[in-house]
Amino acid sequence: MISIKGYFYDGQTSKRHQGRLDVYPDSNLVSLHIYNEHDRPIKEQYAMDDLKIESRLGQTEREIVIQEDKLFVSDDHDSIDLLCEHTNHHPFNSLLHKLENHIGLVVVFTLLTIVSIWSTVVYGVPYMAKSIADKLPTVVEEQFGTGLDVLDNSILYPSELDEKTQQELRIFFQPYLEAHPHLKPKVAFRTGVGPNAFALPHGQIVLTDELVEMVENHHELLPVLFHELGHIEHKHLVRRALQDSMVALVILFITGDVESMDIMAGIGALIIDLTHSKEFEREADHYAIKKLAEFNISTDYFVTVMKRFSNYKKDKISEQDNPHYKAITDFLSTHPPTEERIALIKQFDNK
Amino acid sequence: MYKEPLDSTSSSNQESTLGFEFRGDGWEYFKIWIVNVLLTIITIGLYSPWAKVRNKRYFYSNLFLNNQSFRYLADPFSIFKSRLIAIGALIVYTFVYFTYPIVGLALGLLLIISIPYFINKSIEFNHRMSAYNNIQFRFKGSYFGAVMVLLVWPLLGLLTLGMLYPLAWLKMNQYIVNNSSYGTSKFNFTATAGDYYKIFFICLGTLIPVGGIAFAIMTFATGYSFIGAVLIGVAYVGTIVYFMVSTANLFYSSLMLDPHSFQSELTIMGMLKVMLINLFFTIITLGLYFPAAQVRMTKYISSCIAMNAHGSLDSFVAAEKENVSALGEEMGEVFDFA
Repeated sequence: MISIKGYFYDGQTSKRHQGRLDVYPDSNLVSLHIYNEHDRPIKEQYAMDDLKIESRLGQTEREIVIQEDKLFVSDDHDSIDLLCEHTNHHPFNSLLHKLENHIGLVVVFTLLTIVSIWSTVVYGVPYMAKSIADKLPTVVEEQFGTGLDVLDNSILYPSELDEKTQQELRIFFQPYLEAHPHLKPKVAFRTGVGPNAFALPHGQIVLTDELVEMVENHHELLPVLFHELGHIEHKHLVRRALQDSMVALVILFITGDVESMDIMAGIGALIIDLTHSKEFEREADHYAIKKLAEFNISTDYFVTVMKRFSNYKKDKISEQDNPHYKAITDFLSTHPPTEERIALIKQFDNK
Repeated sequence: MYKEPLDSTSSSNQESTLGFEFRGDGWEYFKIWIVNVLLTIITIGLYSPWAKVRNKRYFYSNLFLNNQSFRYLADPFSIFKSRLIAIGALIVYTFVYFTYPIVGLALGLLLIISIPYFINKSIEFNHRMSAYNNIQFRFKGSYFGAVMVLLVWPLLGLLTLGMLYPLAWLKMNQYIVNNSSYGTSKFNFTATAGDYYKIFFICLGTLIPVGGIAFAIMTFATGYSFIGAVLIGVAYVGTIVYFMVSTANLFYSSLMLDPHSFQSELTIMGMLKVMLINLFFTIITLGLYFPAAQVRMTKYISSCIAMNAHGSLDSFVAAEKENVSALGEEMGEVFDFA
């Protein structure tokens, strides 16, 4: 006989009774003793099949449901585990608690989880995003706005370059833009975010006044223009949007929890952006260098403009020479370090 | 191990304050969670209903009131079946939408019309699957009532540029609470529109002046614009936390389960501390701290809520048996409206 002390709820009222469950595995009988404060104990008889034992879960009380609506709870886990062996309790349910309490297995599970999520997020998702973006009909892409109006209303201001300079630059860029008819590139000038350039959907490229003022001759703008064309050619924006939403799906799939999505999806998107934005930049750099060669323009301009960017940054934040600091900022930065970008040219020249 | 529950059979008018208490443990839950995550991954998601139930059971079974715990009763297999139906519906809908747009549009309309129904069913399911002292919670909402609080009131809020949002929110909570019961005992929601407008105006009264000052600094003293940015950041975070804390306090302290009432004393500093610790550890562990963060938050919130019991808690009576499928809940998750 297995005897289990605990508490009993009859399923009719919320009153808790002290109780004892005596199980006779051989005869398939269960007798339940219910103790009341005033009356004599009540004894009820059940068959083993009337019991449904909930699986063990952490330190929580064990729940035994009797005939669907009565409940017996107890923390006598040993006796209940013994009872499980004699009933039709599913072995998987006891296995779970063993897995959860085997420290070595928990470590292995954690590592396996990290590896599978990491490889999905860092390799699987970008690969899928790339193949989807390549097959994506342009019709779908055109449903995205350029987003330039949003930027104009927030961080960008109208260009302060005089009309003559703007016109000059447009004419200067003309042949290079016309060489990419399938991208339908357009150039716009704005100010407000320091020397910078970026590519938006629909072939919209934005150059800032500060960038135009930073360079000494128009040719130095070409590597930047080609770099942005590279972003458009490789559909980086679409790929990034796809990646971020796929990461959100992966996280949702794992946590199964819509309410606390934000921070977890944020971390996922951050990891993927940190590891892949640099790759996008490298792809765009490659494209820029290839195009410079095609148009017979010296790659020195690429080096010069890169140096100008990095000098500008140094002046701005007076970067410390602490190597740890540098390693961290390199990882957190969205672009590869300048030296690496310049070294790319040398690689290319050697080919 | 067992502490005796409040014995109040002798004097039925005895008043006492019974605190909620969450006895879960971050590390213990992490182990349960990680096993669930891995099983979900290797079964490409098929295990997720079982994971969901096991995780939920952990939170319910560790939540104590008067030394007796809550229970989560859902059967993973019924969730699994409902999820299959919901996913099937999504696939059919997507397929039809792209091949026969007109039919797709009609289906979309049908879906919108059925959202209030499914939301009712979803709340019904969650209440039905929650029990305390072996007595289940219940929810009985009408389609019309759901349409009012889900569509009409928020729309009025939008049309009045937010001036009616506090009222819309009150209506929403009234709808949920007043249609809920514990066994056969009905809940009541006692908050007034004034309570919600007070929170609304305190938020506006903080954000508008601070925003104005910050804007002035950024416009006229451009050298100090970072002060403006910091000011906006602090006011923004502070207001959000104030809003979370005060709406939660208002919600719980407005609950009545006649003759019992509830009180809630979450504080901005207490909540901020939990949020910052959770945020910090979740980020530096790249998400592995997430389950422990959930435990810490639940512990904190439970520790701030208490029931003002008037007399015994032994006399609640179970409601009639009824079956609710998990379809509403799963439709809500798959179509993302719950």
